[in-house]
Formats: sequence, C-alpha cells, structure tokens
Amino acid sequence: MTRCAAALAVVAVVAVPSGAGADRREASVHAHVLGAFLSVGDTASRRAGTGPAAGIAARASFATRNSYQYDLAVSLLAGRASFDEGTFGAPGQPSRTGPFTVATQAVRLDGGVTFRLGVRWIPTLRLAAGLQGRHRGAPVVTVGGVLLSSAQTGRTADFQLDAVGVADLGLDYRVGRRLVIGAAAGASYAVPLGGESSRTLEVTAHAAYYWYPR
Amino acid sequence: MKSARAVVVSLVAFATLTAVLLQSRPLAAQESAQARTILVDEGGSYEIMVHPDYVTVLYLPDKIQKALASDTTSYEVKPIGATSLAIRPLKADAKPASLALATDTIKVSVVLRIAPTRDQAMTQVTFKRADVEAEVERRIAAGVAARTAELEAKIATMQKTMDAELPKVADGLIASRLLQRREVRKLGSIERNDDNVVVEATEVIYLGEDAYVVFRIENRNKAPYRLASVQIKDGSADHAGVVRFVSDAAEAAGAGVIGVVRAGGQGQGIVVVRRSGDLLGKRLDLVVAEPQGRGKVTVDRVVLR
Repeated sequence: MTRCAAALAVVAVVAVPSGAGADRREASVHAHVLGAFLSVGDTASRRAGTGPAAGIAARASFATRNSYQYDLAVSLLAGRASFDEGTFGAPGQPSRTGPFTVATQAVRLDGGVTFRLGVRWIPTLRLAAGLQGRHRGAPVVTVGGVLLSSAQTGRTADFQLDAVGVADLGLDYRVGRRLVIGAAAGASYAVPLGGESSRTLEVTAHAAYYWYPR
Repeated sequence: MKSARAVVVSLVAFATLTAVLLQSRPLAAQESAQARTILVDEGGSYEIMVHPDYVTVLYLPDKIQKALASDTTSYEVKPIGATSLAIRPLKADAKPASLALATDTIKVSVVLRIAPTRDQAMTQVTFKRADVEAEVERRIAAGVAARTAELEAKIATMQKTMDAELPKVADGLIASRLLQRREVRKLGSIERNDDNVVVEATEVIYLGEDAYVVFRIENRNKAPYRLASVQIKDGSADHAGVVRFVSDAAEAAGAGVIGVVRAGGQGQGIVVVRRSGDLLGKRLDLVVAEPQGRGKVTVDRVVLR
C-alpha cells in the first residue's frame, strides 16, 4: 500500500499542470468523521482479527505552493476486532482455544503532505507518517459458550506504540472562499514498536475552513 | 512652461472672441422679430410692415441722396441724421404706399403696408450692401485663418518643446523623490473571492511621498477576469491614484476595463497612492472589482510603513 501511494504521489506531482492546484499561502482546519475497517494481529492467533471502527479527526494545514499543502492530523479511533480462533493459557492453567474479540482505541498523530489537484473540484492525495498509541482491551474469549476470565486467559489490557503511515485519496469541493467539504478513502499501516501490527481501511468525510493567515 | 500656458490661454481667449464675433451678427438680427436686416446688391424692392403705434426706422449704409414717398398724407417720413429715416403711418387705414430711396451706393424701393397688428410691424430695418458684408466676412475669415495658423504653429512648437522637456521634468521629479525616500517593502496581504480569483498585494515601492502598491491577480476561475476598478480604501475614503495593469491575456481591455486576466492566468498591477505619509501605519483595504462591482476581492490589512 505504501509503495502504491508513493507511486501515486509521484504521478500526481508530475501530472499537476503549472498554475493549477491548490492555494498558496492558505491555511485550513478540518473536522473529520471516520469509518474504518480494522485488521490487527494478536499473539494468540496466527490470523489477523478484523472488525469495524469509527472515530473523529482534526487536521490543520498550510500551503506554501499551489499544488500541495503541509498538514498535521490527530485521529481518534475505536473499534473491536474479532478473531476466529486463539489459544490462551495462563501460567499454571491449561491452554484453551476459542474465538475471541479485542477492543481497540487508538490515537494517531501524523504529519504529511496533501497534494491538491484542482480549484473548485479538488482531487486530493495525502501521504503522512506519525505515531499511533493503541490501547488494547483484554481479549474476550469464549470457549464452549463460556466466557473466560483474565485469570484463565492470562491477558489484560495493554498499550502499545506504533509507527504509522497513512495514505488517502479524496475529492474536495470548494463551496466558497472559506468553506471546503470533501471525502476521502485511504489506509493506514502501523509498524508495531514492540507489539502486534495494525492496519486500517478508512473512509472520511470532512468540512474545512480556509483562510489566509497574516 | 509659462510661455506654453500663455499661448494656451491666448488661444482659448481668441477662440472665444471669434465665436462671439461670428455669432454676434446673426444674434443682433434675431434679437426681435420686429427688427430686420436686408442685404442689397445694388437695388431692389422690399415690403415693410408699419403701424401707427410705432415709428419704424430705416438705416442705410451711406448718406441718403433722395427719399420720395408716394403718399405723404398718410405716412410721415423724417430724416434722422444723414443715413436714417423715421417712418410713421398717420392713419390706421392708410393704403400701401411706396418710398423710393437712393444713396451713393444703393437704390431701393420700399413698399409701406399697414400691419394688421402692432406686433407684426417692423421697428427697425437696416439696409446693408451685400458686397461689403461679404468682404467683411471674408476679412474676418481670413483673419481667423491667419490667427489660427499662427497659433497652430505656436502649439506645434510648444509640443516639440514639451516633448523634449517633459522627460527632463520627469527625470528631475523622480530624482528629487528618490532623494527624499526610496524603499521597497514586502506586503504579502492576500485574499480571494468565491470565484477563485486570488489577489495579493505583494510589495510597496516608496518614491518620495508617493507609494506604488504592487498587486498580483491570479485568476483560477474558468472565465476571464476583467479588472475595472482598483481602490485603496481607508475606511470609506479611496486613496487610489493612477492604476496600471499588465497580463498575458490576448483579450484587449475594452471600455471601462483596466485589464484582463485570462482564465487560469495571472496579471500584475500597480496603484499609486499619493501623499502616502498620511496613511502610514493604517490598515488599508485593496479592493479590486470587475465592471458593476462584480467579482470584488477585498484584500484587507494592507499596511504601509
């Protein structure tokens, strides 16, 4: 996904005609709502768990060129991943295998570049990287219709830090000189810093206020 | 410069005088419907309406040699000096009568007839020699032509002098102002309108007391932007002076348009602010607009320092 996004970025920069693009010297603040599809790993399972997530995000940007803007975003995401099967065993306890779910809340701070390829209708491509903190709840394991306790699974809630890369493709519409609305679809890939991997597919809708700061 | 001004003043005065002279004669004849001027070649017969309530005076071009009336009982004819006659009907029902007049240069026969009302009677009739009048007009025309040619020659000379002197005057003015103040400052105020026309006040160039505000228009709309007005506003007061604008548009600026920025194109302009010292430190608005105020962009917080 990251390679694909990088290639798209190169294509976008080359394809941007001179004079077209976004708006030099404009700053903006964006408010996003997110819908996502989670794919997370877990030590108890060889296969990744998946599930829906939702969240909100805020983004601030500033453009030094017409064709792109620098931005910084913070996102909050909450969801629950379901695993088909996992094996849990606390010390001194027999191993138990069964389906389980893990609740996840993540906060992501990333910065990057958004290429803006239009004036009224604005196709966008955003590439960003940052850090993500992820709170994983204790796994909810059901074996034979019985819910296992933390003592039986040997797992409690934990927190892990990820390095994360984000790529989004979107389409904005400039309603007026101040208001821009848009939607985007994208993905994030989190490289765990001592934990399990995490990936998301995301769709966002946003409204943004643009102005020229002095 | 003073001599040039004097020439212009004398030209205007002469033109005014000529106009007055040319218009004065017809005006005199038109002052009243009861006054009449008759141009005579050598002789002729003319009818003149008279009335017992009025004295009708005939003016002739030179000394009257003979004046014979056919009916002296019904009309009183008296000389007034050597070149004028006063005529008054003695009866309201007097029949038409003739009056033969001869001077050194003309011989005319006048038919006197009672006017139905006093308002239709003539009070003054002036006989003039047509050839003399034509000569006078010819001389006036010749005089005007000669004077006009003389003034045109003076204007041409003055124009040549001005063409040579004006650059020197401008150079001197610029040099004086450069000595007073010469400075370029960044402005960086920028704004856009809903049609994606972006206007930026990029810099200001100070030349003496005057400020030259440089602005750039980027037209990101799909239609050309026709710049019609540029204002530098301090509140409601506009301080914009001369405006110049250039762009890469092929379309020529029409009437009431300063310049055109093609769709997707850019242009650059300068607006002069005279005596900018009064405006230093104030937050000014640079307002540009198309005809009828369309496409207005207000770049606020333009501060001259």
